[in-house]
Amino acid sequence: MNELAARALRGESLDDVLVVDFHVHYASKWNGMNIVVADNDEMIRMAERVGVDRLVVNGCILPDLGPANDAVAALASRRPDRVIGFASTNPYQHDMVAEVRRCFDELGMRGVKLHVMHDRYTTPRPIASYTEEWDALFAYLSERRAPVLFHGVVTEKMIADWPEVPFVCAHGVGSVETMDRMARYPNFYVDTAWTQNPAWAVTRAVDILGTERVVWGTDAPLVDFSHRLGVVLDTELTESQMRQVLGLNAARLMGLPLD
Amino acid sequence: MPVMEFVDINCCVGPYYNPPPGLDWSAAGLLARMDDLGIAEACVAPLMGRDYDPWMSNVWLSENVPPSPRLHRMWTAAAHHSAEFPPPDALLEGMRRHNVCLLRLCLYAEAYVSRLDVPIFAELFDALAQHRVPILLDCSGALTLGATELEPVLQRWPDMPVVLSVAKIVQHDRWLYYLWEHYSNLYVDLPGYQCLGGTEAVVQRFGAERLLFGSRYPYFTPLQSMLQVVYADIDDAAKWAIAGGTARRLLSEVTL
Repeated sequence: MNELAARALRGESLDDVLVVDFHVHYASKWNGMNIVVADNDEMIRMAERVGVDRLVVNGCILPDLGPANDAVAALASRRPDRVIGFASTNPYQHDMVAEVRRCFDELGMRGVKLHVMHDRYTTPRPIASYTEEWDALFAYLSERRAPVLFHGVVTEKMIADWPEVPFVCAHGVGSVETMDRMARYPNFYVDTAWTQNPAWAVTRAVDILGTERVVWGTDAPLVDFSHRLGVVLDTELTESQMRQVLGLNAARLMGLPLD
Repeated sequence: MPVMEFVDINCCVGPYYNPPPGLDWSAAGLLARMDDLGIAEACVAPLMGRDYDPWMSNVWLSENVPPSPRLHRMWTAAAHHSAEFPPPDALLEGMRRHNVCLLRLCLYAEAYVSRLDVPIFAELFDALAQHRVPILLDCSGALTLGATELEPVLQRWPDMPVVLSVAKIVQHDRWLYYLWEHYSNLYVDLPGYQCLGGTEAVVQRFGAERLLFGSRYPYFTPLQSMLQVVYADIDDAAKWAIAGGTARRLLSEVTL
């Protein structure tokens, strides 16, 4: 057992390891589920117990994305020591560039979250078909070098067309086919979130994409932070690689200090 | 303070079609992992029990997992009516002879795998309840069970401990709250119960004995569920119960 795993098993908070959870939802009800921790302060407290330094929070689960972004920003403003906001957007609700610019310039956010759930039910046309709107958004994000965490929505063509935008595929360590196909794009990253992603999938992702393109994420408040911490700590990775996956890669993507 | 003792209620060994990379699927390999992580004991089933053949997998387990105070043999259960599998009396006699103390019934969505049909398994469950043999319902490949299927089993066989291992309850778990509230013989292993705050909520409402440390090794690393216990915001007694105390009690109550 490596030293980080041993320390975690003793219940130590890994204070000397920068741990950034790149995939956190605003704690709220969602999808009709019994969200046990639907309070953001409680979610942050539970993250702190495990030693998570930063939570990258998005509001994509809330139905009205403008107020959702405001709520995320309010949380980040109240807990700047822990929370980094990501803007949620889609072409159905607003001018995406205007909303993301507002989120970046006025609300201090550092990236964008896109979710396929916004393509449900009453969609007038497929979300990916808004070509002009996406091009405008990614052109803006290219200038800012701002990362996108995506679950669906983003196509291979988008990733190929916008090499300056880091695209992080949510839950991506679970799909070898996708990683094999996308490895040739240096701006393609994956996160570790999903209850069924095992530790060996993280090692495999590092083998396919390289250590620097795998970032740790949990999908909190759906999923327990500690359970997902184990998915990195019990791999064949070196401690240096674990530190990259657990936080340094995400910090680099968002332009945070690397300590 | 003494080190918390983990008893893994749900792990597998043996050959399989697509084992995780680098896996040593032998009993020795499992023991090495247990030593590495500090796991005291484990209930171990044949990995091929679901997708190859229940009885052949049991024969393999008995021949390849030596009797040991640290490894508790767990056979795969199946219906006996087609004569491919021993009837309950013979099965329990075989379990006794081979030091097998619990059963695993694989319930998946695939057409070739059993459903939890009460008429089919009634004789088996009668025998298990008589001897307080725990049955692990493994539906980790798909979420196929709900209160409708489980309640008749929990209700009719209150002396049979039922350990539920599901794919990912996450927050679609309201039916479990109902069952926990009404049936004290229902236990859930941790890999399927990864909800943030879920451990704390279940301990508070129903008691720590309703959750069991299980790793679902070799698919998951045991460290994941171990950390879920270690970092849970519950008292030490509750942690010890989840880590291994309740599993040890269940195993000690078997009267085979």
